[in-house]
Amino acid sequence: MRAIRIAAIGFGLTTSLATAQGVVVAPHAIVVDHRTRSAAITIYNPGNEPTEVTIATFYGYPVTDSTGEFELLTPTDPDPQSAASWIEAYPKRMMIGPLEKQIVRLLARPPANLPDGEYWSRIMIAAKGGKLPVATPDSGSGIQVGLNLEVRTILPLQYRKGTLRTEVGLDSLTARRVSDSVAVRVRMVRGGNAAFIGTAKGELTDQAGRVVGSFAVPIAVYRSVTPRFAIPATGLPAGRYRLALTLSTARTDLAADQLVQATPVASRIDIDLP
Amino acid sequence: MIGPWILALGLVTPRSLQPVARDTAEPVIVEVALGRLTTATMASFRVGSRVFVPVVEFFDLAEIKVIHSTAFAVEASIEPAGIPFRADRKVGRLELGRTVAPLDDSNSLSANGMLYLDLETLAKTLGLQWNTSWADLTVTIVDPAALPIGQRITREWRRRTQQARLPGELIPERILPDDRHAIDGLVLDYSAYTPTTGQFATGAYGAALGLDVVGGSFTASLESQNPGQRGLRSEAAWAGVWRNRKWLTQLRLGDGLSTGPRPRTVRGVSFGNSPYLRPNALGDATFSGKLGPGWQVEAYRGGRLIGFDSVNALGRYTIDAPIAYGENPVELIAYGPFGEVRRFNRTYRADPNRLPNGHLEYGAALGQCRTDRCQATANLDLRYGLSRHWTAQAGLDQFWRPDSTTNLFHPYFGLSGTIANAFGVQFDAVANAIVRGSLRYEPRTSLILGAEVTRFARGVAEPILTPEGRTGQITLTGIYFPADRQSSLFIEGSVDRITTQSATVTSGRIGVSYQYRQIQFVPSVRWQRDRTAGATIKQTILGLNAYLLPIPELGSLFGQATARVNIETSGRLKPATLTGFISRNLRRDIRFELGGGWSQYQGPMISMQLAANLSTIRAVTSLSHNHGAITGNQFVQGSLLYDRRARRINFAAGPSLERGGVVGRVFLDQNGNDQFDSGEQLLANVRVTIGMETRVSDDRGEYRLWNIAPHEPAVIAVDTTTLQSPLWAPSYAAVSIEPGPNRYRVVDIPISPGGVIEGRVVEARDSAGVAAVALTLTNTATGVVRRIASFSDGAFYIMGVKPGEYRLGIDPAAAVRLGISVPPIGLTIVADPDGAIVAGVTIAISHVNR
Repeated sequence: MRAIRIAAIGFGLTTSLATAQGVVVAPHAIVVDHRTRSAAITIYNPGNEPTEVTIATFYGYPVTDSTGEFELLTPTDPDPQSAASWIEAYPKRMMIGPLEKQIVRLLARPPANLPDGEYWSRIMIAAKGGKLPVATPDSGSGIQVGLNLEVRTILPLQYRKGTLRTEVGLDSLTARRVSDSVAVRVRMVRGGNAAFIGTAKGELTDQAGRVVGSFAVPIAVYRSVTPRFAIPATGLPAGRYRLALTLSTARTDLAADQLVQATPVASRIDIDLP
Repeated sequence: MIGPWILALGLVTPRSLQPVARDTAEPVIVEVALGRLTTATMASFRVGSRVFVPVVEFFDLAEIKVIHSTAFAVEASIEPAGIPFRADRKVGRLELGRTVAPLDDSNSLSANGMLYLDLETLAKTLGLQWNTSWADLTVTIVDPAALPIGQRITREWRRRTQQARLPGELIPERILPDDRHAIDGLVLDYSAYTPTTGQFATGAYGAALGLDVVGGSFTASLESQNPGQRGLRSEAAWAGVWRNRKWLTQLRLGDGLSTGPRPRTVRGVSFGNSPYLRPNALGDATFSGKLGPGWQVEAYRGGRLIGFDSVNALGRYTIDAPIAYGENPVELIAYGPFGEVRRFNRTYRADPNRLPNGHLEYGAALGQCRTDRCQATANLDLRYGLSRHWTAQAGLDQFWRPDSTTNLFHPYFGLSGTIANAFGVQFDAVANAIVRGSLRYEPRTSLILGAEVTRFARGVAEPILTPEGRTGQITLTGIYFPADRQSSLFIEGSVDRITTQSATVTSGRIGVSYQYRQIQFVPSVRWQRDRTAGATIKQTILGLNAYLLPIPELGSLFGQATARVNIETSGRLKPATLTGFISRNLRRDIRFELGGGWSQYQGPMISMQLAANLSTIRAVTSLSHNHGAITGNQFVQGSLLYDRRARRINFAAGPSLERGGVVGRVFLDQNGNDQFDSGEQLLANVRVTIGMETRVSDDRGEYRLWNIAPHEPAVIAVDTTTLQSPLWAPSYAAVSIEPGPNRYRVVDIPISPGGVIEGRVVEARDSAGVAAVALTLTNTATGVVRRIASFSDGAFYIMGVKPGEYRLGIDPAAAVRLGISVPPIGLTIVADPDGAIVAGVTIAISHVNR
């Protein structure tokens, strides 16, 4: 089991919208329906040199570490939720010329008698070749332009069969001042048979009911996570405040038919900030 | 792009630098590199860890235009925005645009008659990142894309790439033979117009039958426009087309039009060698002009690069660009030697009469007149492309009448072409009819001016080609777009002067179009002066048309509605007409319109119209209330099409006569015989492209398209992304067919259950992968060869391989180059609907010259 630290949590951690290395990948989240069992992604090379692209699948889903940062857990043991072994990309290797695009078809060959539910995989697009402009620091540490690097883009894939249902439970909501922010932690446990993809919104109000801080971040709960959110608290006077947290399956960056809808859930606590 | 440069100037902090005494600076030779674009060796100075570079030499390298330079100052212009750069040690200022920073001994020095700037100061001013390596005596600007040289090289790369990608036409892999039958197909067009008043007495009805007879189009029609007075009008004809013949491409027997510039209905024979559908492309035209030395010019049409040139020693550029019939606007972008950019446009209008250089066409017709103005008529027409810009036309028209003294004979000659692209010229001389000359001036897309002068022959009794009594006509037209051609703002006007034997009528119009948000206003003034013997009548009419475009903010009901309003005054500037209509689509193919108004002649009026443009029928229902009476009209039009393969009648909105169609099945060809056999799987939801149209196969695997041009090749291809399995592939990437008239052409599309071959090219001695080895995969039955290359790790991957026997080996040319001989490997791809995968193929080579 390995964990890959990631920067975004999007659709179960979107590290895509890839423009690095010159390849652009769309869409940035893939949903495969059991009836059609196929999907397509488009890879575009806007660069001035050919790019060699390799596509592979692996199993992984986002979890949080002890500090609340998201990372991608890649279990090596067999997992019934994994679709990685039966999702295939065609073609899986290609050269994409300058300003050319390539459509890659994803074909699912699920095992017989697959139970209803959602199955997960990650699509890794490795692009190699071309030039990568790299900014250098002012120091004379060496020039890093034009290196032939391999840049990997990871897309989430969800294979859906039958009736899907998702829900999320909130537990252990806490908030405390850390430096110039209010750090919010909450444990989220998913229910149902599909990942909870949505948005987490938090509002901090003072005793007069005025909103003094807020956040809204995309969230993905595949099993359980305990993320950390931050509300800027510079200049916030000490006193009693109320934190309200809401999770809903609304997303501005994803089409509604890509989301398994669920009833929004909310939790609130009163906190004393020093 | 300049923004960051300006902002960056504020970041310059010379206070952090220590003053530099000239005698503490150490002369050094450094190599200045602008990324990977270019390098130059410059005599510079080193002060501590900093390098001072000569500004003029640096700017020359970066292709920044230096206007003036001394030992203490440099003045330059940063293109393409033309932002002034000034560095002056005497004044102590460093300026980029409006931003100013101090310049002193801490960041500049003067030596050898030149100004030197600390690289950090210079780079930050220009918004660049840099790196200095004293170990290598190298100074590198990391990303010089924002510099003029970076922009020029990026532009040249983009141009090369676009040129390499230009030919995008789908090349058919197979041309299906023609399948002409003695009699085939059946099309029946019908139309009916029935007013509520008068019923059949005032209605109009028509029906026309079409067949494919020995490859030509046979048509027969009956039409009744006013049965009470004129009876039925019947027509019948057969038209044959031989697209590839040189001297006879079209023959029509029966009713039709004569040939030449003044066609008329005739019952007889007509023939010629003009193409059934004239290709849109005409040839090339030269766009030229003059710029300063060192400029490059790119020509674009529709956003696509169509040509480029660099100026010659005289500063002239010349671009030959493809042109088509009609208007050919070309956007020209000129790039100066120091990053300057100029944009302008030119246009070339190709008259429909024009022919390509050296091309000869003729047409001839003979037969009975279908009007009561003559008994019989004949004509012969010849056209010849004299050059790329000029076409000549000559011929004759003859009309016979019962009284032979009134027969008309009209030999004619014409010339049309262009002068210097901007001027279009046309001249016609028709004996016993007209002499006409026209000139059009179109220097750019935003201005068109035209003038036409016509003199009519006098003394011709009962003329047919010209209006009786007319002696002359002068027409002036113009349209001007103050902004650009895409703008809705334009001014247009025309003046027309018609003289007859008894009167002179002079009329004019000037109008303006202006769009404010979702409303387009078109005010206009029309005036007319009729001068007859002893009397002159003048009138001026003011008009305003306004068009309301959809405003989504109005909600689902009104947000999709459009409206139009018309207001007009009478000749005495009194209100004459006021009408308004609002319309909205009820469905994609059904539109409803409601309106009303008032006019001084008809009084108040209300009308309603429902127009349905369905795939099977076209219908318009209208009701109006005027003078206390309600009147209604109903119009329907459609076609019945016989599908011989399915023995079925299909419906179309029509008219469908002399059009063609394609019908077929998409199936999984499991036995690879290209024929649909019982038991083979029919494929639904497959997108098929036929020419410019697309259709999706239905649940029975059938696709169907009507209303394509007969006799002209149409390329049929499958969108492979819509195939259920990515391993399937069409047996032919694209096939070309020639549809027949008045019938469906049957084209079944076999899909092969393809496979994948994957493996590695390795060195025999250590199994290391060998990259970029050219391989060939040859189908042993068909000889078709696919070429691929191994990836960087030696792996290769071939997808969409059709079932069959193959030989996989190193490309012979590559084998010679590598000095090796490796026998091909035999492989078999079986027909497996799930896709056959042949993996682990290894090609081991030795004696590789790496």
